[in-house]
Amino acid sequence: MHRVITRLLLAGLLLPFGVQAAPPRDMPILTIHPGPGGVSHVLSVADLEAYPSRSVTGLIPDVGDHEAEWTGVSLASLLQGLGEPLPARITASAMDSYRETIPISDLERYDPIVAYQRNGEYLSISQRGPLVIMYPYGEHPELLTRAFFSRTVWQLDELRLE
Amino acid sequence: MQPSRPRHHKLAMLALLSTLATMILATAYSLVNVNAKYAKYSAPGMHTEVWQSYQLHSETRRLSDTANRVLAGEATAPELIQRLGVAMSQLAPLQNTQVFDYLPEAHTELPKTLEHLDSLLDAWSSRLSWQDTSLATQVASEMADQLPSMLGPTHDIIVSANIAVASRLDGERQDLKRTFQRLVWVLLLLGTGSLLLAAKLFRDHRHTLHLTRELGTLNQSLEERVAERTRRLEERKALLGIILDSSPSDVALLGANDQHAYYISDTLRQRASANDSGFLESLFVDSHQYTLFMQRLTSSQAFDNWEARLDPRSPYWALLSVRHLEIDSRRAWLIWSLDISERKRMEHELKQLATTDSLTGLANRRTFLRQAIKQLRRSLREAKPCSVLVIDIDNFKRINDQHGHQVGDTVLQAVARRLDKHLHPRGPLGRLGGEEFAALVKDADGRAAWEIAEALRDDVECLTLQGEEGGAIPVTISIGIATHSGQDTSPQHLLVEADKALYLAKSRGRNRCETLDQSSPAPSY
Repeated sequence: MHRVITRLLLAGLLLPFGVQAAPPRDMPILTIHPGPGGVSHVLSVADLEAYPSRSVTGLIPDVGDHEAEWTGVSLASLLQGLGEPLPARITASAMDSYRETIPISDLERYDPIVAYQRNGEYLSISQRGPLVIMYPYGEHPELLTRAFFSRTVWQLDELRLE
Repeated sequence: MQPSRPRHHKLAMLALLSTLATMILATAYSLVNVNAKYAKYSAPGMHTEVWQSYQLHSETRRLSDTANRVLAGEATAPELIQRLGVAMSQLAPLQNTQVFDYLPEAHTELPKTLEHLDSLLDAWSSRLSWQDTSLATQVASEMADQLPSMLGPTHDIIVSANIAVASRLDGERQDLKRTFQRLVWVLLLLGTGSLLLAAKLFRDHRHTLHLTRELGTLNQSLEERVAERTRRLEERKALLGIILDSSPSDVALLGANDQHAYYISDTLRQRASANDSGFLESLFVDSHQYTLFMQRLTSSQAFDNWEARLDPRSPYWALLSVRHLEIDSRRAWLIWSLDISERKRMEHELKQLATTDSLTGLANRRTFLRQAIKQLRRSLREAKPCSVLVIDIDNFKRINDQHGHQVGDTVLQAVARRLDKHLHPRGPLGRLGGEEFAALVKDADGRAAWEIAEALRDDVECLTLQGEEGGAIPVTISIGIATHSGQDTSPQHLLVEADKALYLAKSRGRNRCETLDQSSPAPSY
């Protein structure tokens, strides 16, 4: 019963935003700024989908989200694919001007992804999409702390390599 | 004082047990409580409502700004849709949060603001399209018109969220404080209980130690006492052995059923030819005596002075005493045997001395009279005749004077032998005193007595005795005869009669027989 209520609540959370469609997959949506002297990369969802996908179990904290399977591209392999050397840290920014720094050790230890699908579906902006930095909370329960919640940046639109 | 101690203990135990029960209950309650808190605080806190309210407020402003920029041709439809999406995503959590329930006073405007904003954003969102710029301009003008009036209410939401979160945190703080208070009490209770338990354990341990020590002491003293008792018993046993072995009595302790020999004196053991079961039988000379002894043994618990002849190899008289005992709950006989051979011999000797004339070996006057009474009674009972002879040595005083007492004694002895030869088988015979003898002749009437007396007198007359000078000493006797007439009479009377007859014989010249009985035919000389 409890589960059913939770699901209904979840559906109620997400459904109202269904009225807003997900952005076109070829719309440029993520800008990656390398260090000084580098050339910025602007990527669409389709660009990200060109990389090998990686799935993790996780959730968006603080907004009543439930654990789901998130599919995207490994942040580390994305940087490698773009030919960018691994920086000391990455600052991720969101459309609502939120930003948080991710130490490079996270990439080595937990391999977070830039997710574009939740349970196989693209997300609209009102659903905190289209891109979300997702940590493998299901695989690593020790990540369920505020530090990693802060690094789970949704409505991701910029990565700054430092 | 005595019965209050166990009651006191019982009460203490009851108190301890109830404390323990309370401790267990309190601990269980605290565990449940703490577990609930643990579950609650396992997930990181979600007090992000202030941030979300702030974000909603600023996104409203940014949406309004973007709408103005669209109207000024500085921004495109996708930009507007993006800002609208971001604003919508900020609104959703605030619509679903429970945090505003924690407001001390309900802010009635708050749900209205959220609802109004939601309906506006939804309506605009459904009308916008990623490619349609004219539609975006139309919507943007509505936004620019309506959103600025929403900035005040969204600001109020920040204030409300701040107060609500603060209240909620304070509620949680108070709740935590209460929980910790309860935990402190429970821990205090646990501590007290543990202290009590430790005290009880310590006390019990000390008590046990004390008891153990006391038990050890008791044990030691008991062992010492047992050793002392054993030593004394052994001393007594040795003493008893010495007493028994040096006792004039021989002792045998035999089992009643199997005649198992618990103890047999050395002397007694040497006298019996068999050991153990055959011991008693082999001790008796006479098997009939053994049978009688056994009958008595089984019929009475104790008896004394049972005379028996023991030791078949060298028989002796023993006085047996018996006691029934129980040894290791089995019946046993304690038999004392006293060697009375010497006593018997002395008894016999005394009897001889008391009844016999030592010079002649004949019965003395007393014995003769007793025997005579006995014989006379028997003769009277059987209605048989019976005669008394009184015999006197003639002129014995002259023999004594002429030849000395030693010769006199020899004469007495010689005459006594003759008397014995003639009269002994016929009835009692004795020396009345001096040179006077008497005999009772049974079954002899006057005539028979006369003949016997005559034969005797004749025999003595033929006796030749040598004096010290070598000359022959003539010895004659006079005899007075009295015969029992058939009437009731006494030996004394008969003796008197016989004495009278003797006197007559003396007066008539000695060396002759006389009787007063006229019926008896007196021989004529």
